[in-house]
Amino acid sequence: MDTTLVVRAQKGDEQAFASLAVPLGNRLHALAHRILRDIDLAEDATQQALLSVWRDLPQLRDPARFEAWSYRLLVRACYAEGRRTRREVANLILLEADEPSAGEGLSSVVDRDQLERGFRRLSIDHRAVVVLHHYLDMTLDEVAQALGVPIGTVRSRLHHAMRGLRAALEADARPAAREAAQ
Amino acid sequence: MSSDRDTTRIVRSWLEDGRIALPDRVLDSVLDQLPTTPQRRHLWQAWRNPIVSNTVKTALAGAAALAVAVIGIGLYFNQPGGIGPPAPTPSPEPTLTVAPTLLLTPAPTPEAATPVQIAEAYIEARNAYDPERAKELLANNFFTTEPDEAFRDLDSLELAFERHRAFGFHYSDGDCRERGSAAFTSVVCDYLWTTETHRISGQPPTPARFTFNFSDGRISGVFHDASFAFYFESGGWYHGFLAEHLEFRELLDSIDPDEQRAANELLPEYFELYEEWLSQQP
Repeated sequence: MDTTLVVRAQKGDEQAFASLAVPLGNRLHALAHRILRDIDLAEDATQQALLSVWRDLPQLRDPARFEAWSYRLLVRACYAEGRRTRREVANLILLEADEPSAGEGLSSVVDRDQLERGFRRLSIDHRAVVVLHHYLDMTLDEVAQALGVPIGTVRSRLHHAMRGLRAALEADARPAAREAAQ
Repeated sequence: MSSDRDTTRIVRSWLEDGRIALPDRVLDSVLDQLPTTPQRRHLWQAWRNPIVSNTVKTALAGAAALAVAVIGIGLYFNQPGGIGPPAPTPSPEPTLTVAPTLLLTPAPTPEAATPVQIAEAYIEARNAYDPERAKELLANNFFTTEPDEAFRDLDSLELAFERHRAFGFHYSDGDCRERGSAAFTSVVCDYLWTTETHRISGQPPTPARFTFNFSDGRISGVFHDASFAFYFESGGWYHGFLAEHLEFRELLDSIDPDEQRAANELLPEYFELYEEWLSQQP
């Protein structure tokens, strides 16, 4: 990240911000998509996050921390999108997915399907920790700094989230295991 | 049953899927909105903006430094037994001459201390006040920060403003150690300011009044009787000193006062001095 561009953008240079926004937008969008699990919501969240970055950029003290700081704004935008769509989601009727055939076992397709369900059951807080840590390879300390929460909170959220995801995978494995035992 | 390691591996693999780029239309929409989206700036950042006139800077510097100096030094010199350093020698070429009028209004709360007369005169390079017309409100919770360069360098005033909003007014010369109190609710500074322009053109000093309002030891509003505004390069006008600054209020609300105070190590000696002084009051 070019800190010169960050400093220029802090002073209101729109061209400098545009240069930052192209790569940053892609990164934020990738994160938003992974957190929200919805293309449209991710686009909205990314757009809001980029505007927040522009608006609040003068308040960023250390330009070197620009990227981590932008992740925090993105997560906030994801919260907002999550709140905005919660009512709509509540009106949806959840349909049971087709049961996987016994022969597939723990195939990657089934894993992904179960992970998707398990992940959607997590709060945005928990999803953000999982994505920042396991997708961006940020350390827990870095995640804590990016989200502005204590590291203990990050550990707790990660533990809770991974336990939920593991349970989702195991729930899928049980029928296959039962069938195998019969 | 999958182990923790398996779960992590599967989750990581799953997260890697589906790399997608941000559509151009989204990015274009963001960039199109920039001209109509003003950037949020701290109050002190207006100070550093070159478009803010030197006159305004000087006025603000004078008001802030004056009020801070008067309160800090006043409290310092009011310690029992004349505790405190001797008054600094006036600068032969002050950059700002402050009129001998300064009024510190007391807190309206019943438990607020009664304003007292400041006993000692104090003059320094930029500011001066007349002790006969100056009053201070007694503080009840001293605290201090490490010495810094606030007020020594105009560009460092950001420090002062930042501290003010969190801690109240405090300043003393010498080692530049700052002190503060949560007791102040309003400080009114009536003064005359003189700049190099005044001197060169022969204009008389310009009268001005600044009012700093406090809430829980933090500045909640800054008022000025003159009409001026800041214009930022990003295209936004700020009329923050004509009325309570809403953006400033938002910033204040975002600060955890306990956290800020905890960041300032309280010096027990100030408490002891103040308690001792209080015990001797009628």
